[in-house]
Amino acid sequence: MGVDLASKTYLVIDDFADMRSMLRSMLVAYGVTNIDMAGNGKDAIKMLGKKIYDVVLCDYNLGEGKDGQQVLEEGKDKGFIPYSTAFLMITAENTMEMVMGAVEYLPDDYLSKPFNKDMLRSRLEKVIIRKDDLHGIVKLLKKEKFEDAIALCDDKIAQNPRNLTELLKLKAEILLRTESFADAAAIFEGVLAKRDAPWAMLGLGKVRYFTHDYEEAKKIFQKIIDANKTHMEAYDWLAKSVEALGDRRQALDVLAKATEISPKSIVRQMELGNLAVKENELGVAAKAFKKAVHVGCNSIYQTPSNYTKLAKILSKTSGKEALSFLTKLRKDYGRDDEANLHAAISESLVMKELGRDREAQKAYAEASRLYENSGGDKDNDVALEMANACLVNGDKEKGLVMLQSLVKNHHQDEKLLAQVQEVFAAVGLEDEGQELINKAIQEVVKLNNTGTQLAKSGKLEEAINFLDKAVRNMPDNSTINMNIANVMMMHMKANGKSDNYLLKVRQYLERVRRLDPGNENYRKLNAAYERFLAS
Amino acid sequence: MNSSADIGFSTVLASSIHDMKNSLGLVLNSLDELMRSAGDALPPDQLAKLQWEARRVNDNLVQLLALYKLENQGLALHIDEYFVREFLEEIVVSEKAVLAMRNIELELRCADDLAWYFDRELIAGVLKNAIGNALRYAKARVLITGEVDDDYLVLSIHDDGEGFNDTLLAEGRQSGHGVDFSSGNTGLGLYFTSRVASLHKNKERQGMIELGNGHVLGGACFSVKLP
Repeated sequence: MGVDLASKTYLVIDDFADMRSMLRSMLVAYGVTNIDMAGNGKDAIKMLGKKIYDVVLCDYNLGEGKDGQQVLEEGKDKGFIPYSTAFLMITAENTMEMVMGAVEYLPDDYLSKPFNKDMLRSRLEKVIIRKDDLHGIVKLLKKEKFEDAIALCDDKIAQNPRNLTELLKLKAEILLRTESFADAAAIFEGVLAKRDAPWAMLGLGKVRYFTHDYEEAKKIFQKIIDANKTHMEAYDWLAKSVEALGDRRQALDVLAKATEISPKSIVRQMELGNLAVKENELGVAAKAFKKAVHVGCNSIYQTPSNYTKLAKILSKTSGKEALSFLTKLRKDYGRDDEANLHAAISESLVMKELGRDREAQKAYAEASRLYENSGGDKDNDVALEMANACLVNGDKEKGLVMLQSLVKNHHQDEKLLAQVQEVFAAVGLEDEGQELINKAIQEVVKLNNTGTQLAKSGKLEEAINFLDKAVRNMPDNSTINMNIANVMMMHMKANGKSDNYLLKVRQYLERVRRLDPGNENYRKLNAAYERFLAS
Repeated sequence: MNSSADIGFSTVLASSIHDMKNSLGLVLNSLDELMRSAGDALPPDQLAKLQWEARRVNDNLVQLLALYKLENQGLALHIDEYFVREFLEEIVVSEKAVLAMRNIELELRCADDLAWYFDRELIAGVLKNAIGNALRYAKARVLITGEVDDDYLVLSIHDDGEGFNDTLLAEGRQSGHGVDFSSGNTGLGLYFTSRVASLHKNKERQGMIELGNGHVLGGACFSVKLP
């Protein structure tokens, strides 16, 4: 088929020495000489970090430690497995336990045992040819040149190639990403007219969900599940849809059913846990977070908050068990400051709940120290928890300042505002809290309005100076960041480009992208910036 | 299946099958290597027989495992679009050694760009089972065809043997429950095959299998039809 397998570099990952040497001898038979081998996930990650391989053959089941999917996720996440690397997942059988990752974390193909060297060769060649064909589009996507990527898809589609379906899938995926829902729907519907293709049904369901037609979305996802009880992604989306329809109870049932069928997905267990907390089903929540802590111990999706959420729930029924998970958190993460911060905050709250004030104070002191030292970017969830710990442990002033800053930085984030209100409610400060929130929001809105007014009346310099002060005060407020970026562009359009402003605009936009990647205004503004650069 | 002892047993059974399958996989590959590297020095008939039987056990185990999972809602179905010819070629490639040893000529007829939706692993299991049977009874030729008929993908395995006996033809019509220990046919293959076929659905239609005699090569013809 004209694929040169011999000169490529290979990494073989399998916990069985026999399997490794068998795979090696298959590769040697194609004339391959450059083969590295790893016997577990940890070693595999190390080796992936040292060199970019052309081909990775990885067994899903790697015994203790990371499994194949977790190796793939971590390798991709760290940039060790770029698109140019062909990743084949070797599986023992058609197994339900196996976790299908998110789209960006899917292997290029699966290969089920047993297979012989001819079979492996055939799969390798196909994967490599397929990836080569799509590489141009993927490169454009990496650069976020979505329009160009779609145009290239269209060029290829127009030639009515053999891999038409694959191109349609890819194009539809890009359209979903850029929120071109009508165009995406047209592709899915076109396919569905002839065939109940699961990928197209799922895609159409997502379109309905994103365009807020939750009833229709629900129907579609349910239909997928009726045809295939093991389509796990459909369960996740069904749960989202029924929750959006206001039926949290049913969403909980759907996720519970899904985690029963496929318990290994940490992300799904976390979703279930969070939903169960909202529904006050603490038993279900505790079970889900316990699972998340256990199945996720080697996963990039693992987070200290699974431990602390669990501890919080358990503190109401079994203080000892709650504390044992905080001990486990410190142990699992070693000397990680962030994890210790989470553990200390949680410990101060749990100890307080248990009436052990002295220990609570000690943990709170540790938390405060770690929080001050952690500097830089702070996760909103950590800030919320820390503020909570302040209020509970008698440091009200500090807690209020933190919450106020959170509100100012995220004055349009309804979810976060609700969380802030919850923190106030938990310590009996509902009214005071609501007033603080309202005042903080008004202040931000006023700042933004003043800045915008100045700009509209042509006082661009003044507007920039004004907004600059505001953005220094609230660096994480995406609206203010976008406003100042916008005004600076107006200034440059009127007075010519300036390196200083160009750099600053880039920085503000970068910040918004990091804070709020799905923000529609951000995308428009960014597109305007790109056009301005090119002009 | 309602007492905990029963559930324990079926789980142990499933995990033992899994374990046996892994060992067999290694046996099969060692055999492959042996045939390639030292093929001339060893009695080819016996090697082929060894490989043949090991593969048969392996395929049976795969089917048992799949059926176990089907009963326990754990059989994951992954339906996607594949190129039929490439898919069939892969199956032929995995049977290459056996074919060479048994001196059977195998032909594949399928359009190059025919694509269809199915579960690749499960349908491969179905076809390997059918090819195994065909190779057992064929005199000299086996033909595999893939074509679209009345909006079904029809994958057929033809041979030039004596054809299916009447009992099997009847079983084929009622999706196979008979167990005939004397002939070595436990009905597992047929049962597995029809269950897998019926998991494939499209636009209110579902997949099925068909057994016939005296088609293209004069012997048996097994077909799986997928909507």
